[in-house]
Amino acid sequence: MYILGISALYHDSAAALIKDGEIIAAAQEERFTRKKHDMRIPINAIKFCMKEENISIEEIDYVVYYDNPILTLDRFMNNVLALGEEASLLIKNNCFDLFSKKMWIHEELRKALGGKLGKYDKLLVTEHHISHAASAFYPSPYKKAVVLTIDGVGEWATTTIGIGSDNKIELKEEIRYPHSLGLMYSAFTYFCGFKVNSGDYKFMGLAPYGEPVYCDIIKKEIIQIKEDGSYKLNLKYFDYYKGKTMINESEFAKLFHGPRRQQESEITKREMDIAASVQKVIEEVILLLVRYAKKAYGEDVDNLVLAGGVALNCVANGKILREQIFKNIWIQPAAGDAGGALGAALYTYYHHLQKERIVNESDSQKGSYLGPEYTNEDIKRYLDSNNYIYHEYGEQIFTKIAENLENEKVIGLFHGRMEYGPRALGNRSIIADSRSPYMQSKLNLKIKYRESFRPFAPSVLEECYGDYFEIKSKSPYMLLVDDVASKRQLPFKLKEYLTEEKNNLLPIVNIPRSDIPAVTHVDYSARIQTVAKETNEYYYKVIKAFQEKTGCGVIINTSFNVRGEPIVCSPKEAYECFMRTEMDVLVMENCILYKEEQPEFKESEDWRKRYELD
Amino acid sequence: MNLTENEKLLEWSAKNYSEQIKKDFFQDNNNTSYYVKRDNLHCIEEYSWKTVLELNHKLNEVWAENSVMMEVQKTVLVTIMKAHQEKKETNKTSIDEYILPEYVYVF
Repeated sequence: MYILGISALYHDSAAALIKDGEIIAAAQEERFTRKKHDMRIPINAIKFCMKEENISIEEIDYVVYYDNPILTLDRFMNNVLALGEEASLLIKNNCFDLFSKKMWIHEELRKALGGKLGKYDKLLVTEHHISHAASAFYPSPYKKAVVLTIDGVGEWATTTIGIGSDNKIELKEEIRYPHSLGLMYSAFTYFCGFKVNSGDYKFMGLAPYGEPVYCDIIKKEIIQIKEDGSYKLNLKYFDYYKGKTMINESEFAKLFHGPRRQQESEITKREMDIAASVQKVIEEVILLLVRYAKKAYGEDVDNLVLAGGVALNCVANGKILREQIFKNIWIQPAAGDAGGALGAALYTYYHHLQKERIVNESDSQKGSYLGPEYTNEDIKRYLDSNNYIYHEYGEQIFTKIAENLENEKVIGLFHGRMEYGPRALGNRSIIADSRSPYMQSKLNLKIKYRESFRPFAPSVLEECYGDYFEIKSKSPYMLLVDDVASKRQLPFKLKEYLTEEKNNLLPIVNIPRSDIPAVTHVDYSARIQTVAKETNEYYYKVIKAFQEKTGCGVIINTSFNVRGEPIVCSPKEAYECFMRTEMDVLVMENCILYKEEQPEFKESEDWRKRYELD
Repeated sequence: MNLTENEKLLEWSAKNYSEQIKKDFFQDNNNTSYYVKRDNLHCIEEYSWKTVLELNHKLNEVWAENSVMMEVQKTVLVTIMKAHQEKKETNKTSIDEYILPEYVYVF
């Protein structure tokens, strides 16, 4: 039985295909269209999923959309009503999308699928947070788990708590729009001059530079938090429910001593302190939510599963793990809306159709390597047809890669199936030597063309993560943050380098904080990916070869793209990204390409104009 | 969607607005907890309506016991039909169809 899950029309459209409950393929639309966070009907992702199994639409038993338009309409109309005469902007800015597209999602999808919605020509819709919950529970390695979902907003819900057991999920309680932890976080992202959604991750990365001096103000003025983790926002500070921008700028400006930071302007200590404060408040709320969930629904349950955009806050996830409220946690790697496509399909199969669920003791996510793959022959054909120079290797390729890493070369690594979810996990990654003190700023400024303060994540061999990090659990999806092992930390006092007058972050990132400085953030934290041979043998061998050569089992892993560009999907995109940046080496399956050997690279248009800064 | 439909919705919201409605929507209370128990009535369902009557039936499932919503139901139905027709005829795309709005969350 084939089920196709689809997320679309909000942000991060995606498609996922399951067969008899097994995840076969999943991908975000942005990777094909090259438009970051693409929200359109994911026609390319759908085609990819069907091609992966060589099936036609007639062979798909169910097509499922991850959100219920009727409930979204209900929430919208109630929002309009609650604003009375002040509802004009909300109506003006939202009606067309909702009434002409979201309400017609079955027709939009029918058109995209060639005139038929699967074998029975019927569309199923799952509730938004059910989709998130299902994406977290069903692929997890647990027979029973408490489920927590937190995001911006679904139809009504913004946070839900429930329980998953065998093939069933029941969400018990929720916090409702307009009160939303995700929207509050995005509001602060906006106030600090970053973009909503795409800037949330940067905002989290900025937090360790600041001091949480605004915590009390935020808790007193902006969010009222109950002991059970439930919360309510003071809506006088927000404008999103009126159909305007995220915040009431004048009220925010009064509270935080000045107007919103303009995008791309200098980041000051104020923004760093706001980031640190919001992060601390978010963590406090999430920990209270988890404690309440444990007390209310999980006294006999050791496992917690998480999804929803806020579950990508890996710093908070690391805190949940360290607090040991639950013995084990598992987070859906595509925790945002893209993952809703997978959750919708899985919920239909297991819960709705009541099919038996067999739990995989590692998990059923397949490392999240669920996207398109290109064989070595495909890659050679592409390179040959363009007269690009490459060197082909067998098993020796891993030694060659390690040599280049040791020589401080920056390498684009392209092999196997593309990752599903926002993180590159070794198959579409840029890798480099984690021991280099200058690599963080080099990668940020010369390769990724992004803000200098942003940290890089380490990939570490699974068998030796304890040698490098304090984390007590595997972290295959780069969704947990913990400290670099204390024995590796070097004395570093951020306060000495950062004052009201002196807040240039570039010199700071060049000061070593450990013996793996390029992946050690200013608070000694790291966003860890543990790499297992069983999950990704190729990538494991790369790091293993580096370890054999240098004694270090950790490398830098950052996504294979430049700022504003979706992660590369095809060999062509990988080659273009390689040539546009100061990357030194490109590895594609068994082929190695060196920049200096390549023919002159000319493009008809400036790629910088193609990708809007995120 | 033309201005008339927008105006009808605005007229309805202005006419039916009350402090209690506002209070309920914004959950303006001092409860000891802000959790809401879920009814789980709509976790998964078919969404393949073809006619106005079928869509009306779906809306009834949610609004049948809400007189204020029942009052606007017809306008909503007409607006949905008109918006779709307008989109087909003009091939009009929303402002955010191709680019994610910079500072606005998509609801």
